[in-house]
Amino acid sequence: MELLSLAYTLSLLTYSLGALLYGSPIPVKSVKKWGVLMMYDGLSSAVLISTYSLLLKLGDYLLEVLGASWTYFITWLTGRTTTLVTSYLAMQSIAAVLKASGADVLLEFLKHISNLVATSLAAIKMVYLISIVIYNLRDKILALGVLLYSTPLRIGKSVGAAMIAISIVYYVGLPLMPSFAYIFETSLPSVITEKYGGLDGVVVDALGKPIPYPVVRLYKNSVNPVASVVGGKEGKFSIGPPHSLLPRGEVFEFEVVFMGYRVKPEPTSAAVPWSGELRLYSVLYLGNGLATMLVGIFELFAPASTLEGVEFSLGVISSEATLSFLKLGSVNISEILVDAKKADCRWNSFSWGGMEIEECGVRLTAGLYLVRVVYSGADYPRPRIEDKHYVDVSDVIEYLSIVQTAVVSYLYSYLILPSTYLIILSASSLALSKFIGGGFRLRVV
Amino acid sequence: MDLVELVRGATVVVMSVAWFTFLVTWAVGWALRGSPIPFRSMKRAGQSLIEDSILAAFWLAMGTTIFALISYVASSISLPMPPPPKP
Repeated sequence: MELLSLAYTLSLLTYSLGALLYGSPIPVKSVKKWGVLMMYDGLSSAVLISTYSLLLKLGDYLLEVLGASWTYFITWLTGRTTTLVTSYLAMQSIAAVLKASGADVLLEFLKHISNLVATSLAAIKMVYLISIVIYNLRDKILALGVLLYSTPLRIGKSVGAAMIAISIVYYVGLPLMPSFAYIFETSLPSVITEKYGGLDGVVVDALGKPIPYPVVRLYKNSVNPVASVVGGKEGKFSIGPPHSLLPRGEVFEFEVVFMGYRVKPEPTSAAVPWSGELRLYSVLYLGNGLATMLVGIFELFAPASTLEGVEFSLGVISSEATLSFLKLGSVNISEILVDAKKADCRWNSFSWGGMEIEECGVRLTAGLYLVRVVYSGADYPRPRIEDKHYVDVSDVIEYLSIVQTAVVSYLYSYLILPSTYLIILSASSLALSKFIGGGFRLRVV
Repeated sequence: MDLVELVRGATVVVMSVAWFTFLVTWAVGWALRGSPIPFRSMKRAGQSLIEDSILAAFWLAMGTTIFALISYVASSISLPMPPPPKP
Protein backbone atom coordinates (compact mmCIF):
# COMPACT_ATOMS: atom_id res chain seq x y z
CA MET A 1 0.00 0.00 0.00
CA GLU A 2 1.35 3.35 -1.10
CA LEU A 3 0.37 5.18 2.09
CA LEU A 4 2.06 2.63 4.31
CA SER A 5 5.37 2.63 2.43
CA LEU A 6 5.35 6.43 2.55
CA ALA A 7 4.66 6.26 6.28
CA TYR A 8 7.52 3.76 6.71
CA THR A 9 10.06 5.97 4.94
CA LEU A 10 8.77 8.96 6.91
CA SER A 11 9.31 7.14 10.18
CA LEU A 12 12.84 6.24 9.08
CA LEU A 13 13.41 9.91 8.25
CA THR A 14 12.08 10.95 11.67
CA TYR A 15 14.42 8.46 13.31
CA SER A 16 17.50 9.66 11.45
CA LEU A 17 16.58 13.32 12.07
CA GLY A 18 16.38 12.42 15.77
CA ALA A 19 19.80 10.79 15.61
CA LEU A 20 21.16 13.86 13.81
CA LEU A 21 19.85 16.19 16.53
CA TYR A 22 21.06 13.89 19.27
CA GLY A 23 24.56 13.72 17.83
CA SER A 24 24.83 17.38 16.92
CA PRO A 25 27.64 19.39 18.56
CA ILE A 26 25.17 21.84 20.14
CA PRO A 27 25.47 21.54 23.91
CA VAL A 28 21.81 22.58 24.51
CA LYS A 29 19.71 20.11 26.50
CA SER A 30 16.40 20.79 24.74
CA VAL A 31 17.90 19.98 21.34
CA LYS A 32 19.17 16.64 22.66
CA LYS A 33 15.74 15.99 24.20
CA TRP A 34 14.07 16.63 20.87
CA GLY A 35 16.49 14.25 19.24
CA VAL A 36 15.58 11.44 21.64
CA LEU A 37 11.88 12.24 21.27
CA MET A 38 12.09 12.03 17.50
CA MET A 39 13.95 8.74 17.61
CA TYR A 40 11.23 7.39 19.87
CA ASP A 41 8.53 8.73 17.51
CA GLY A 42 10.16 7.06 14.54
CA LEU A 43 10.27 3.74 16.34
CA SER A 44 6.70 3.93 17.65
CA SER A 45 5.31 4.82 14.24
CA ALA A 46 7.33 1.94 12.76
CA VAL A 47 5.63 -0.35 15.29
CA LEU A 48 2.21 0.99 14.24
CA ILE A 49 2.97 0.58 10.53
CA SER A 50 4.16 -2.98 11.03
CA THR A 51 1.08 -3.85 13.05
CA TYR A 52 -1.29 -2.30 10.50
CA SER A 53 -2.78 -5.61 9.41
CA LEU A 54 -2.74 -6.78 13.02
CA LEU A 55 -4.81 -3.74 14.03
CA LEU A 56 -7.31 -4.51 11.29
CA LYS A 57 -7.54 -8.11 12.43
CA LEU A 58 -7.77 -7.00 16.06
CA GLY A 59 -11.08 -5.23 15.32
CA ASP A 60 -12.57 -8.35 13.79
CA TYR A 61 -11.25 -10.49 16.63
CA LEU A 62 -12.76 -8.20 19.28
CA LEU A 63 -16.09 -8.23 17.46
CA GLU A 64 -16.00 -12.01 17.37
CA VAL A 65 -15.20 -12.20 21.08
CA LEU A 66 -18.01 -9.77 21.92
CA GLY A 67 -20.48 -11.60 19.71
CA ALA A 68 -21.42 -8.57 17.64
CA SER A 69 -21.57 -8.38 13.87
CA TRP A 70 -21.88 -5.64 11.32
CA THR A 71 -24.53 -7.50 9.34
CA TYR A 72 -26.80 -7.62 12.38
CA PHE A 73 -26.10 -3.96 13.14
CA ILE A 74 -26.98 -2.83 9.61
CA THR A 75 -30.16 -4.94 9.73
CA TRP A 76 -31.03 -3.36 13.09
CA LEU A 77 -30.47 0.14 11.71
CA THR A 78 -32.52 -0.57 8.60
CA GLY A 79 -35.34 -1.98 10.75
CA ARG A 80 -35.39 1.15 12.91
CA THR A 81 -35.33 3.40 9.86
CA THR A 82 -38.24 1.48 8.36
CA THR A 83 -40.26 1.81 11.58
CA LEU A 84 -39.65 5.54 11.66
CA VAL A 85 -40.42 6.05 7.98
CA THR A 86 -43.62 4.02 8.34
CA SER A 87 -44.80 6.03 11.30
CA TYR A 88 -43.85 9.27 9.60
CA LEU A 89 -45.85 8.33 6.51
CA ALA A 90 -48.74 7.16 8.70
CA MET A 91 -48.73 10.51 10.45
CA GLN A 92 -48.68 12.36 7.15
CA SER A 93 -51.67 10.36 5.97
CA ILE A 94 -53.53 10.99 9.22
CA ALA A 95 -52.82 14.67 8.73
CA ALA A 96 -54.29 14.41 5.24
CA VAL A 97 -57.36 12.63 6.61
CA LEU A 98 -57.81 15.20 9.36
CA LYS A 99 -57.53 18.00 6.84
CA ALA A 100 -60.08 16.34 4.56
CA SER A 101 -62.48 15.55 7.39
CA GLY A 102 -62.34 19.06 8.78
CA ALA A 103 -60.79 18.18 12.14
CA ASP A 104 -58.07 20.79 11.59
CA VAL A 105 -57.77 21.48 15.32
CA LEU A 106 -55.74 18.33 15.79
CA LEU A 107 -53.41 19.20 12.92
CA GLU A 108 -51.10 21.41 15.00
CA PHE A 109 -50.67 18.66 17.52
CA LEU A 110 -49.92 16.16 14.79
CA LYS A 111 -47.45 18.53 13.16
CA HIS A 112 -45.53 18.72 16.41
CA ILE A 113 -45.46 14.92 16.70
CA SER A 114 -44.31 14.42 13.15
CA ASN A 115 -41.53 16.97 13.73
CA LEU A 116 -40.29 14.78 16.55
CA VAL A 117 -40.40 11.74 14.28
CA ALA A 118 -38.49 13.64 11.59
CA THR A 119 -35.83 14.58 14.14
CA SER A 120 -35.44 10.94 15.22
CA LEU A 121 -35.25 9.93 11.59
CA ALA A 122 -32.49 12.46 10.94
CA ALA A 123 -30.59 11.16 13.99
CA ILE A 124 -30.80 7.55 12.92
CA LYS A 125 -29.77 8.52 9.38
CA MET A 126 -26.73 10.25 10.85
CA VAL A 127 -25.76 7.08 12.73
CA TYR A 128 -26.28 5.17 9.49
CA LEU A 129 -23.99 7.54 7.61
CA ILE A 130 -21.25 7.34 10.25
CA SER A 131 -21.41 3.57 10.37
CA ILE A 132 -21.29 3.23 6.58
CA VAL A 133 -18.24 5.53 6.47
CA ILE A 134 -16.48 3.57 9.24
CA TYR A 135 -17.36 0.19 7.76
CA ASN A 136 -16.24 0.99 4.24
CA LEU A 137 -13.28 3.27 4.91
CA ARG A 138 -11.81 2.04 8.18
CA ASP A 139 -8.66 0.59 6.56
CA LYS A 140 -8.09 3.85 4.70
CA ILE A 141 -8.72 5.90 7.84
CA LEU A 142 -6.25 3.69 9.71
CA ALA A 143 -3.60 4.00 6.97
CA LEU A 144 -4.06 7.76 6.81
CA GLY A 145 -3.86 7.94 10.61
CA VAL A 146 -0.61 5.97 10.58
CA LEU A 147 0.79 8.23 7.85
CA LEU A 148 -0.08 11.39 9.78
CA TYR A 149 1.28 9.79 12.92
CA SER A 150 4.68 9.19 11.34
CA THR A 151 5.21 12.70 10.00
CA PRO A 152 8.41 14.19 11.44
CA LEU A 153 8.42 16.86 14.17
CA ARG A 154 5.04 15.60 15.55
CA ILE A 155 3.11 17.68 13.00
CA GLY A 156 0.19 15.28 12.59
CA LYS A 157 0.80 13.01 15.52
CA SER A 158 -2.31 13.79 17.57
CA VAL A 159 -4.59 13.85 14.51
CA GLY A 160 -3.12 10.55 13.33
CA ALA A 161 -3.55 9.00 16.76
CA ALA A 162 -7.19 10.16 16.84
CA MET A 163 -7.83 8.63 13.42
CA ILE A 164 -6.23 5.33 14.42
CA ALA A 165 -8.28 5.30 17.63
CA ILE A 166 -11.53 6.13 15.79
CA SER A 167 -10.98 3.41 13.22
CA ILE A 168 -10.54 0.82 15.98
CA VAL A 169 -13.07 2.02 18.58
CA TYR A 170 -15.89 2.84 16.17
CA TYR A 171 -15.38 -0.36 14.22
CA VAL A 172 -15.73 -2.42 17.38
CA GLY A 173 -18.15 -0.12 19.20
CA LEU A 174 -20.83 0.62 16.62
CA PRO A 175 -22.04 -3.00 16.18
CA LEU A 176 -22.49 -3.12 19.96
CA MET A 177 -25.08 -0.34 19.76
CA PRO A 178 -28.07 -2.72 19.45
CA SER A 179 -27.16 -4.44 22.73
CA PHE A 180 -26.63 -1.05 24.38
CA ALA A 181 -29.96 0.21 23.09
CA TYR A 182 -31.67 -3.05 24.01
CA ILE A 183 -30.91 -2.52 27.71
CA PHE A 184 -32.48 0.94 27.78
CA GLU A 185 -35.03 0.79 25.00
CA THR A 186 -38.71 0.84 25.89
CA SER A 187 -40.98 -1.40 23.89
CA LEU A 188 -42.40 0.43 20.93
CA PRO A 189 -46.13 0.33 20.34
CA SER A 190 -46.96 -0.35 16.74
CA VAL A 191 -48.52 2.70 15.28
CA ILE A 192 -51.25 2.03 12.80
CA THR A 193 -51.68 -1.62 11.99
CA GLU A 194 -53.10 -2.60 15.36
CA LYS A 195 -56.10 -0.35 15.66
CA TYR A 196 -57.11 0.31 12.10
CA GLY A 197 -57.71 -1.76 9.07
CA GLY A 198 -59.13 -1.47 5.61
CA LEU A 199 -61.70 -2.90 3.28
CA ASP A 200 -60.40 -3.69 -0.13
CA GLY A 201 -61.34 -5.90 -2.99
CA VAL A 202 -62.65 -6.02 -6.49
CA VAL A 203 -66.16 -5.42 -7.80
CA VAL A 204 -67.35 -8.01 -10.33
CA ASP A 205 -70.58 -8.58 -12.24
CA ALA A 206 -72.85 -11.64 -12.08
CA LEU A 207 -70.42 -13.73 -14.10
CA GLY A 208 -67.26 -12.57 -12.28
CA LYS A 209 -66.08 -10.01 -14.84
CA PRO A 210 -64.54 -6.90 -13.22
CA ILE A 211 -66.63 -3.75 -13.45
CA PRO A 212 -64.75 -0.55 -14.40
CA TYR A 213 -64.80 2.40 -12.01
CA PRO A 214 -67.42 1.13 -9.57
CA VAL A 215 -68.46 3.56 -6.84
CA VAL A 216 -68.28 1.67 -3.55
CA ARG A 217 -70.18 3.18 -0.65
CA LEU A 218 -70.12 2.24 3.01
CA TYR A 219 -73.06 2.57 5.38
CA LYS A 220 -73.18 2.26 9.12
CA ASN A 221 -76.86 2.15 10.15
CA SER A 222 -77.35 5.40 8.31
CA VAL A 223 -79.27 6.78 5.38
CA ASN A 224 -76.29 8.59 3.93
CA PRO A 225 -73.08 6.78 3.14
CA VAL A 226 -70.24 7.32 5.62
CA ALA A 227 -67.57 6.66 3.01
CA SER A 228 -67.48 6.45 -0.75
CA VAL A 229 -64.66 5.68 -3.17
CA VAL A 230 -64.39 5.23 -6.90
CA GLY A 231 -62.64 1.99 -7.82
CA GLY A 232 -60.08 1.46 -10.53
CA LYS A 233 -60.44 0.45 -14.15
CA GLU A 234 -60.19 -3.22 -13.20
CA GLY A 235 -62.80 -2.83 -10.48
CA LYS A 236 -60.33 -2.69 -7.61
CA PHE A 237 -61.15 -0.50 -4.64
CA SER A 238 -59.58 0.18 -1.27
CA ILE A 239 -61.04 1.98 1.72
CA GLY A 240 -58.73 2.36 4.70
CA PRO A 241 -55.39 3.81 5.66
CA PRO A 242 -54.00 6.18 4.59
CA HIS A 243 -57.20 7.96 3.54
CA SER A 244 -59.76 6.51 5.91
CA LEU A 245 -59.45 5.27 9.45
CA LEU A 246 -61.78 2.31 9.92
CA PRO A 247 -61.64 0.80 13.42
CA ARG A 248 -60.97 -2.92 13.47
CA GLY A 249 -63.96 -5.13 14.10
CA GLU A 250 -66.49 -2.50 13.00
CA VAL A 251 -69.11 -3.77 10.54
CA PHE A 252 -69.94 -1.71 7.44
CA GLU A 253 -72.62 -2.31 4.81
CA PHE A 254 -71.68 -2.12 1.15
CA GLU A 255 -73.44 -0.53 -1.77
CA VAL A 256 -72.13 -0.23 -5.28
CA VAL A 257 -73.24 2.43 -7.74
CA PHE A 258 -72.64 1.64 -11.37
CA MET A 259 -73.93 3.69 -14.30
CA GLY A 260 -76.27 5.48 -11.97
CA TYR A 261 -77.77 2.31 -10.51
CA ARG A 262 -77.46 1.54 -6.82
CA VAL A 263 -76.88 -2.18 -6.34
CA LYS A 264 -76.51 -4.30 -3.21
CA PRO A 265 -73.49 -6.53 -3.67
CA GLU A 266 -72.80 -9.94 -2.23
CA PRO A 267 -71.59 -9.94 0.58
CA THR A 268 -73.76 -7.09 1.78
CA SER A 269 -71.58 -6.22 4.76
CA ALA A 270 -68.15 -6.95 6.19
CA ALA A 271 -66.16 -6.38 9.37
CA VAL A 272 -62.86 -4.50 9.19
CA PRO A 273 -60.37 -5.73 8.03
CA TRP A 274 -61.75 -7.45 4.97
CA SER A 275 -60.59 -8.14 1.48
CA GLY A 276 -62.40 -10.08 -1.20
CA GLU A 277 -64.82 -9.85 -4.07
CA LEU A 278 -68.02 -7.82 -4.21
CA ARG A 279 -70.32 -9.54 -6.68
CA LEU A 280 -73.23 -7.75 -8.29
CA TYR A 281 -75.69 -10.52 -9.18
CA SER A 282 -78.04 -8.20 -11.01
CA VAL A 283 -75.46 -6.63 -13.33
CA LEU A 284 -74.01 -8.08 -16.49
CA TYR A 285 -71.28 -5.89 -17.95
CA LEU A 286 -71.03 -6.43 -21.68
CA GLY A 287 -68.01 -4.17 -22.17
CA ASN A 288 -67.31 -0.90 -23.97
CA GLY A 289 -69.82 1.18 -22.07
CA LEU A 290 -72.75 -1.24 -22.32
CA ALA A 291 -74.29 -3.11 -19.38
CA THR A 292 -77.53 -4.85 -18.54
CA MET A 293 -79.46 -4.74 -15.28
CA LEU A 294 -81.40 -7.87 -14.49
CA VAL A 295 -84.57 -7.42 -12.49
CA GLY A 296 -86.07 -10.82 -11.67
CA ILE A 297 -84.67 -14.32 -11.37
CA PHE A 298 -82.31 -15.28 -14.16
CA GLU A 299 -80.01 -18.01 -15.23
CA LEU A 300 -77.08 -16.59 -17.16
CA PHE A 301 -74.67 -18.02 -19.68
CA ALA A 302 -71.37 -16.44 -20.58
CA PRO A 303 -71.66 -13.80 -23.29
CA ALA A 304 -69.69 -14.20 -26.49
CA SER A 305 -68.33 -11.25 -28.41
CA THR A 306 -69.09 -11.25 -32.10
CA LEU A 307 -67.70 -9.08 -34.85
CA GLU A 308 -70.34 -6.39 -34.54
CA GLY A 309 -71.48 -6.82 -30.94
CA VAL A 310 -72.21 -9.32 -28.24
CA GLU A 311 -74.42 -12.40 -27.90
CA PHE A 312 -75.60 -14.17 -24.76
CA SER A 313 -78.28 -16.57 -23.66
CA LEU A 314 -80.30 -16.29 -20.52
CA GLY A 315 -83.10 -18.19 -18.89
CA VAL A 316 -85.85 -16.35 -17.05
CA ILE A 317 -86.99 -18.39 -14.06
CA SER A 318 -89.43 -15.95 -12.46
CA SER A 319 -92.74 -15.49 -14.21
CA GLU A 320 -91.87 -11.93 -15.18
CA ALA A 321 -88.57 -10.11 -15.49
CA THR A 322 -87.06 -6.98 -16.94
CA LEU A 323 -83.83 -6.80 -18.83
CA SER A 324 -82.61 -3.20 -18.74
CA PHE A 325 -79.92 -2.05 -21.13
CA LEU A 326 -77.69 0.75 -19.93
CA LYS A 327 -75.35 2.51 -22.29
CA LEU A 328 -73.23 5.60 -22.44
CA GLY A 329 -74.56 8.39 -24.62
CA SER A 330 -71.64 7.87 -27.01
CA VAL A 331 -72.37 4.16 -27.51
CA ASN A 332 -74.24 3.49 -30.72
CA ILE A 333 -76.65 0.56 -30.70
CA SER A 334 -77.89 -0.51 -34.12
CA GLU A 335 -80.23 -3.23 -32.92
CA ILE A 336 -81.17 -5.45 -30.01
CA LEU A 337 -82.43 -8.88 -31.05
CA VAL A 338 -84.17 -11.14 -28.52
CA ASP A 339 -84.60 -14.57 -30.10
CA ALA A 340 -83.90 -12.98 -33.50
CA LYS A 341 -86.76 -10.53 -33.02
CA LYS A 342 -86.09 -6.86 -32.79
CA ALA A 343 -86.79 -5.75 -29.22
CA ASP A 344 -89.06 -2.81 -28.66
CA CYS A 345 -86.80 -0.44 -26.79
CA ARG A 346 -87.40 3.17 -25.94
CA TRP A 347 -84.34 4.96 -24.64
CA ASN A 348 -84.59 7.32 -21.70
CA SER A 349 -81.54 9.34 -20.86
CA PHE A 350 -80.28 10.70 -17.58
CA SER A 351 -76.98 12.05 -16.41
CA TRP A 352 -74.87 10.71 -13.57
CA GLY A 353 -71.29 11.38 -12.45
CA GLY A 354 -70.67 13.75 -15.34
CA MET A 355 -71.73 11.30 -18.05
CA GLU A 356 -74.81 10.86 -20.18
CA ILE A 357 -76.42 7.47 -19.73
CA GLU A 358 -79.33 6.01 -21.64
CA GLU A 359 -81.47 3.12 -20.57
CA CYS A 360 -84.25 1.01 -21.95
CA GLY A 361 -86.09 -1.97 -20.49
CA VAL A 362 -87.18 -5.15 -22.24
CA ARG A 363 -89.92 -7.14 -20.52
CA LEU A 364 -89.55 -10.89 -20.58
CA THR A 365 -91.61 -13.81 -19.36
CA ALA A 366 -90.35 -17.19 -18.19
CA GLY A 367 -88.32 -19.03 -20.81
CA LEU A 368 -84.95 -19.30 -22.51
CA TYR A 369 -83.76 -16.42 -24.68
CA LEU A 370 -80.88 -15.67 -26.99
CA VAL A 371 -80.03 -11.96 -26.88
CA ARG A 372 -77.91 -10.31 -29.51
CA VAL A 373 -76.82 -6.69 -29.37
CA VAL A 374 -75.19 -5.03 -32.34
CA TYR A 375 -73.33 -1.92 -31.23
CA SER A 376 -70.20 0.12 -31.50
CA GLY A 377 -68.75 0.74 -28.05
CA ALA A 378 -66.88 3.54 -26.32
CA ASP A 379 -64.47 3.70 -23.42
CA TYR A 380 -66.15 3.86 -20.04
CA PRO A 381 -64.84 7.00 -18.32
CA ARG A 382 -64.19 7.50 -14.62
CA PRO A 383 -67.32 9.04 -13.09
CA ARG A 384 -66.76 12.48 -11.67
CA ILE A 385 -67.65 11.67 -8.08
CA GLU A 386 -65.62 12.87 -5.15
CA ASP A 387 -64.26 10.35 -2.68
CA LYS A 388 -65.56 10.59 0.84
CA HIS A 389 -63.33 9.34 3.62
CA TYR A 390 -64.31 7.95 6.96
CA VAL A 391 -62.52 9.02 10.10
CA ASP A 392 -63.60 7.86 13.51
CA VAL A 393 -62.86 11.08 15.40
CA SER A 394 -63.31 9.70 18.92
CA ASP A 395 -60.79 7.04 18.01
CA VAL A 396 -58.46 9.59 16.44
CA ILE A 397 -57.95 11.41 19.72
CA GLU A 398 -57.19 8.15 21.47
CA TYR A 399 -54.97 7.22 18.57
CA LEU A 400 -53.09 10.51 18.74
CA SER A 401 -52.32 9.99 22.40
CA ILE A 402 -50.95 6.52 21.58
CA VAL A 403 -48.89 8.07 18.79
CA GLN A 404 -47.57 10.72 21.12
CA THR A 405 -46.36 8.14 23.62
CA ALA A 406 -44.80 6.13 20.82
CA VAL A 407 -43.07 9.16 19.37
CA VAL A 408 -41.59 10.23 22.68
CA SER A 409 -40.15 6.75 23.07
CA TYR A 410 -38.87 6.95 19.49
CA LEU A 411 -37.12 10.18 20.32
CA TYR A 412 -35.59 8.55 23.35
CA SER A 413 -34.44 5.38 21.61
CA TYR A 414 -33.37 6.85 18.30
CA LEU A 415 -32.02 10.27 19.19
CA ILE A 416 -30.90 10.29 22.80
CA LEU A 417 -29.62 6.71 23.11
CA PRO A 418 -27.53 6.68 19.90
CA SER A 419 -26.18 10.16 20.66
CA THR A 420 -25.17 9.06 24.15
CA TYR A 421 -23.55 6.00 22.71
CA LEU A 422 -21.66 8.02 20.11
CA ILE A 423 -20.45 10.33 22.86
CA ILE A 424 -19.23 7.30 24.83
CA LEU A 425 -17.44 6.01 21.73
CA SER A 426 -15.85 9.41 21.11
CA ALA A 427 -14.63 9.55 24.70
CA SER A 428 -13.15 6.06 24.34
CA SER A 429 -11.48 7.07 21.08
CA LEU A 430 -10.02 10.13 22.77
CA ALA A 431 -8.65 7.99 25.58
CA LEU A 432 -7.13 5.51 23.13
CA SER A 433 -5.65 8.28 21.00
CA LYS A 434 -4.05 9.75 24.11
CA PHE A 435 -2.57 6.33 24.80
CA ILE A 436 -1.21 6.06 21.27
CA GLY A 437 -0.24 9.64 20.77
CA GLY A 438 1.26 11.03 23.92
CA GLY A 439 -0.26 10.00 27.20
CA PHE A 440 2.06 7.06 27.45
CA ARG A 441 5.73 7.41 26.56
CA LEU A 442 8.37 4.75 26.36
CA ARG A 443 11.87 5.98 27.04
CA VAL A 444 14.17 4.48 24.44
CA VAL A 445 17.30 6.22 25.61
CA MET B 1 9.20 12.46 -8.69
CA ASP B 2 7.67 9.83 -6.47
CA LEU B 3 6.97 11.02 -2.93
CA VAL B 4 8.31 7.83 -1.37
CA GLU B 5 11.52 8.15 -3.38
CA LEU B 6 11.83 11.79 -2.33
CA VAL B 7 11.49 10.94 1.35
CA ARG B 8 13.91 8.02 0.96
CA GLY B 9 16.47 10.33 -0.68
CA ALA B 10 15.98 12.86 2.11
CA THR B 11 16.56 10.10 4.66
CA VAL B 12 19.81 9.08 2.98
CA VAL B 13 20.98 12.71 2.95
CA VAL B 14 20.01 13.17 6.61
CA MET B 15 21.84 9.96 7.55
CA SER B 16 25.06 10.98 5.84
CA VAL B 17 24.82 14.43 7.42
CA ALA B 18 24.26 12.71 10.77
CA TRP B 19 27.42 10.60 10.32
CA PHE B 20 29.37 13.73 9.47
CA THR B 21 27.94 15.56 12.51
CA PHE B 22 28.87 12.61 14.68
CA LEU B 23 32.48 12.95 13.57
CA VAL B 24 32.40 16.71 14.13
CA THR B 25 30.83 16.34 17.58
CA TRP B 26 33.30 13.65 18.52
CA ALA B 27 36.21 15.81 17.43
CA VAL B 28 34.80 18.90 19.14
CA GLY B 29 34.21 16.88 22.28
CA TRP B 30 37.80 15.62 22.40
CA ALA B 31 39.11 19.07 21.55
CA LEU B 32 37.18 20.58 24.45
CA ARG B 33 38.23 17.81 26.79
CA GLY B 34 41.86 17.96 25.87
CA SER B 35 42.15 21.73 25.62
CA PRO B 36 44.57 23.45 28.00
CA ILE B 37 41.82 25.59 29.49
CA PRO B 38 41.45 24.80 33.19
CA PHE B 39 37.61 25.11 33.35
CA ARG B 40 35.86 22.03 34.71
CA SER B 41 32.52 22.85 33.11
CA MET B 42 34.13 23.00 29.69
CA LYS B 43 35.79 19.63 30.22
CA ARG B 44 32.43 18.21 31.30
CA ALA B 45 30.70 19.62 28.25
CA GLY B 46 33.35 18.00 26.08
CA GLN B 47 32.83 14.68 27.88
CA SER B 48 29.04 14.78 27.38
CA LEU B 49 29.48 15.71 23.71
CA ILE B 50 31.66 12.63 23.22
CA GLU B 51 29.14 10.40 25.01
CA ASP B 52 26.16 11.79 23.06
CA SER B 53 27.93 11.49 19.76
CA ILE B 54 28.87 7.87 20.41
CA LEU B 55 25.33 6.99 21.55
CA ALA B 56 23.85 8.76 18.50
CA ALA B 57 26.25 6.90 16.22
CA PHE B 58 25.29 3.64 17.88
CA TRP B 59 21.55 4.24 17.42
CA LEU B 60 22.12 5.48 13.88
CA ALA B 61 24.01 2.32 13.05
CA MET B 62 21.39 0.18 14.77
CA GLY B 63 18.50 2.10 13.13
CA THR B 64 17.88 -0.15 10.13
CA THR B 65 18.42 -3.22 12.31
CA ILE B 66 15.83 -2.03 14.84
CA PHE B 67 13.34 -1.24 12.08
CA ALA B 68 13.87 -4.67 10.55
CA LEU B 69 13.46 -6.26 13.98
CA ILE B 70 10.16 -4.38 14.55
CA SER B 71 8.83 -5.53 11.16
CA TYR B 72 9.92 -9.09 11.88
CA VAL B 73 8.30 -9.22 15.34
CA ALA B 74 5.08 -7.55 14.10
CA SER B 75 4.78 -9.90 11.14
CA SER B 76 5.40 -12.94 13.34
CA ILE B 77 2.65 -11.93 15.81
CA SER B 78 0.18 -11.10 13.08
CA LEU B 79 -0.25 -14.79 12.36
CA PRO B 80 -3.88 -16.04 12.52
CA MET B 81 -5.42 -15.40 15.91
CA PRO B 82 -6.66 -18.19 18.15
CA PRO B 83 -10.45 -18.61 18.24
CA PRO B 84 -12.25 -16.58 20.93
CA PRO B 85 -12.77 -18.30 24.26
CA LYS B 86 -16.20 -19.86 24.79
CA PRO B 87 -17.99 -18.66 27.92
